[in-house]
Amino acid sequence: MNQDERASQLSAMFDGELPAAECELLSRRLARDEQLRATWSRYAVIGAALRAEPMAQVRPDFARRVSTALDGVTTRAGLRRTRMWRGAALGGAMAAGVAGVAIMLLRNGLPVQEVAMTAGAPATAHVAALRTPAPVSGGGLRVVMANTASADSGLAGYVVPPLSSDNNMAVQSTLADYVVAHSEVSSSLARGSLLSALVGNELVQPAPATAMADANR
Amino acid sequence: MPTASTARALAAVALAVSFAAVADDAHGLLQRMEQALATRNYQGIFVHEHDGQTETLRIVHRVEGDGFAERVASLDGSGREVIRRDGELRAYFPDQRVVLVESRPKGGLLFTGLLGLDSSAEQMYRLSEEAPTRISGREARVLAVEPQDDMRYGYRVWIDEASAMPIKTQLRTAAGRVVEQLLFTELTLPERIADAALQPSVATHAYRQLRRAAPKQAAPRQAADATWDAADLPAGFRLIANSTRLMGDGQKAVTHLVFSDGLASVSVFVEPQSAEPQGQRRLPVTERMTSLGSSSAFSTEMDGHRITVMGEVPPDTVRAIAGSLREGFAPADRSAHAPRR
Repeated sequence: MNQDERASQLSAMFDGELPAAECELLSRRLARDEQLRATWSRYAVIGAALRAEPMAQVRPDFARRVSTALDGVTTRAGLRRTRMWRGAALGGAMAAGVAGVAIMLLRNGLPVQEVAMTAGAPATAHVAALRTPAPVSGGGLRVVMANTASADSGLAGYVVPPLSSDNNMAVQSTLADYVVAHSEVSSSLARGSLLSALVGNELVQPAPATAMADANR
Repeated sequence: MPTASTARALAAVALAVSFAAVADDAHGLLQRMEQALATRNYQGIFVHEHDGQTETLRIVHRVEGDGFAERVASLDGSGREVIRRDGELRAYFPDQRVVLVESRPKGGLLFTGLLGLDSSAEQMYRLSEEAPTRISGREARVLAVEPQDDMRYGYRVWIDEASAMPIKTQLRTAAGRVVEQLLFTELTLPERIADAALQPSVATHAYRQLRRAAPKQAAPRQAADATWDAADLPAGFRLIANSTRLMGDGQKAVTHLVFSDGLASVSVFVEPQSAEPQGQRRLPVTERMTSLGSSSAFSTEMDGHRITVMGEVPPDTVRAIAGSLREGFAPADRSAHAPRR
């Protein structure tokens, strides 16, 4: 099947005109084919346009722009744009109060924080008992989850370092709590996207150094 | 208190009351859908699209007594999945070898209580049924919930005629722009679902486990505490809940107000601005607007408080609600006193 045929198939699925068996095959392929997912998004937009629905434009830099807009302050330069960094940021934000729903914050631009991840062997359920209040001053930054036992006990810890005196940082760190609280009073339809974002692929998009520099002015 | 119990209460009344102007058929269909979601086991694959991004996910949902167990897994190859069962939500991240555990109140995770229509929504939305169609190989009836102005979103729901399960949903602006949509490409309704289908697909014994305790409710409000209200809300919105929560690991009390138009809900969080540490320069007040999925969030400062407003409504609506807030006085004193400053 060539690209045009595949695109046509995508469009048909979106419009509900593709047989169920083909839908299933296509959805499996979507799951593993990044290029196809991008095409699907484009056809979603085109299909909406044909039906006179002014659907949102595809915005590939959405995460960065929202991050910049929301943060105002983010981290200084030197973020390690590695998968490990993404994982550390994820864990830190989760421990800060991000329940299932709030990963959307990460995906769409939770304040980009440089998160130091301590080395650690697998943790146990009593990690929760080791959570400590915020000992770090300035900007409301805090140790989100720290190992208060012996240094070699191997428990994971995520530390948000003090990077700015802007008191808005404190607000950003609590935004995750707000999302969780709000999710309890919102309809499940609204929660759907948050949930799928939780298990979706795009979690944290670090802002480029230039954007961060601008934001810190 | 605006907790899961409030949400459940809203959902409970949602479909027990009807829009006077709504055709019985449309309302009956909505009831059938809610009944199916509450009582049927189901599993399938769905595609979610928002803001030009798509995710393909598998869902397994099993009814258990008065609750349910649910597993949602990404099919993007990352192996990430979320399992909700026995009052816990567990999120597995194989690429980071992390499992996150949180106590969660009972309630719908993905589809339960799909449209929490309240009778008060009658003024702001119009419920109707559109021409039936075929989608994903099924005969589907189409419900439209149209907002009466651009201060709230509307919905389209394609409902399987045979099972009453939602096959496709859309969140749309008043002008018809699709904000977000979700489409089942595969859906089955098995009588029984084995335990194995609700287990994580990866061995997790070596994973780092992070656990978060359930959020706490603050002590009852003190008489001397300031109260907050709204003077000029967008049409149809009213205050439905007001409580104080302990947030930030229980370190601070935050006022949580909930406004609703009968369908959409908007949360307002108010927290006192902390005193600046000695020697630190206070930066100018800033306002921020951002999108959180299909929701909007707006943050500003007012009278020494940080105000954050968020909800599944357009950005103009959260901004308008923020602008309508005022620090006031206890409701019992409302007729006798001017707002306290």
